[in-house]
Amino acid sequence: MIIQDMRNLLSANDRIAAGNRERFKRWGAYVVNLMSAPGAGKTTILEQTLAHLHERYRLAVIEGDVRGSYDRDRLHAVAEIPIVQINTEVAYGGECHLDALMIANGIGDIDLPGTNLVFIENVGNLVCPAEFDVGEDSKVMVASVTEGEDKPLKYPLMYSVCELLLLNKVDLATAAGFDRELFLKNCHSVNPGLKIIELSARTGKGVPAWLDWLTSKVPA
Amino acid sequence: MHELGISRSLIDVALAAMAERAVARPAASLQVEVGRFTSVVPDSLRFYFEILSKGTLLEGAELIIDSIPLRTRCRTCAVESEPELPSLLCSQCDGVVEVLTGRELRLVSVEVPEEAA
Repeated sequence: MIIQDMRNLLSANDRIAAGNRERFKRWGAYVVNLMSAPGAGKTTILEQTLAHLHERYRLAVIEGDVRGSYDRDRLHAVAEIPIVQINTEVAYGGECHLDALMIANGIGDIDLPGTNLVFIENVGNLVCPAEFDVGEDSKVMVASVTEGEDKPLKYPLMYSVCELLLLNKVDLATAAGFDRELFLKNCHSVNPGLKIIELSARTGKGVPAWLDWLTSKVPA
Repeated sequence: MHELGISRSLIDVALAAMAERAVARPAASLQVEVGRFTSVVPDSLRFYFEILSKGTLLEGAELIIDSIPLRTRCRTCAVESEPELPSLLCSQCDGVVEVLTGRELRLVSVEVPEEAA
């Protein structure tokens, strides 16, 4: 016999993601899923973000890494806010992304009503995280000028699922021989509606535009 | 390597489809659709499926993967095309396109042989 059953393979993930979304909504939180290649600057951007916003907003972070809590420690040095660390090597076979179940298990019984903004720092990877809804409101990616202009064409899915791109390390653009126009053209060929903010998390240049984008999502 | 998680979902979904119909015999094959505009590598899916299906009704079943092309339609000039990844701009007018197919990641069917008489 042939059993016909057109069921989406990500339906289980999407169901759990809907539960996460419901939960974040009850807290009153806007949730940003931050993704990038390793080393693009997600954590440095979060350090800047926390430093600027932690006195105005109630923030929380969910950190995804294959192993270790280096990023959590860095962020805690900036602000004493709730940070949930998920290590995928512990129970998830060292997965290279976060999925909805990891977020649900990571939050567990933690209840943070009144939180305005939750950042999910995904595992550094330009392939797998693009495929998984984790219950966020916005998918935001970080790319850095040192990665090269061709990356939107090499990782089109990631570039196409995000609504905002933070182009980081612009202070290094000249040294890296970065062709800005070509990069922007490549970005828009895979995602015509992609919003791009150019910044340097190291020098702080352009960071206000990112903070403005965040505060537009979360009225103080 | 997120194919590990997706293989696990595939097995869950297929076993659920069988259980809902009270089918408790080993499957011979599974048919799935994988769009070209997903980040799933078919060989990797097969590899994990083989390992994870051990000890279930799906052990040894053949995994048939239909690769679904990326098809788009231009929102401006309505031209449909099958672009080579990665551009999602219309080849005719450079307009923005919508994706018609290519994002599939789903089970289609499970084949279960009848019981021997």
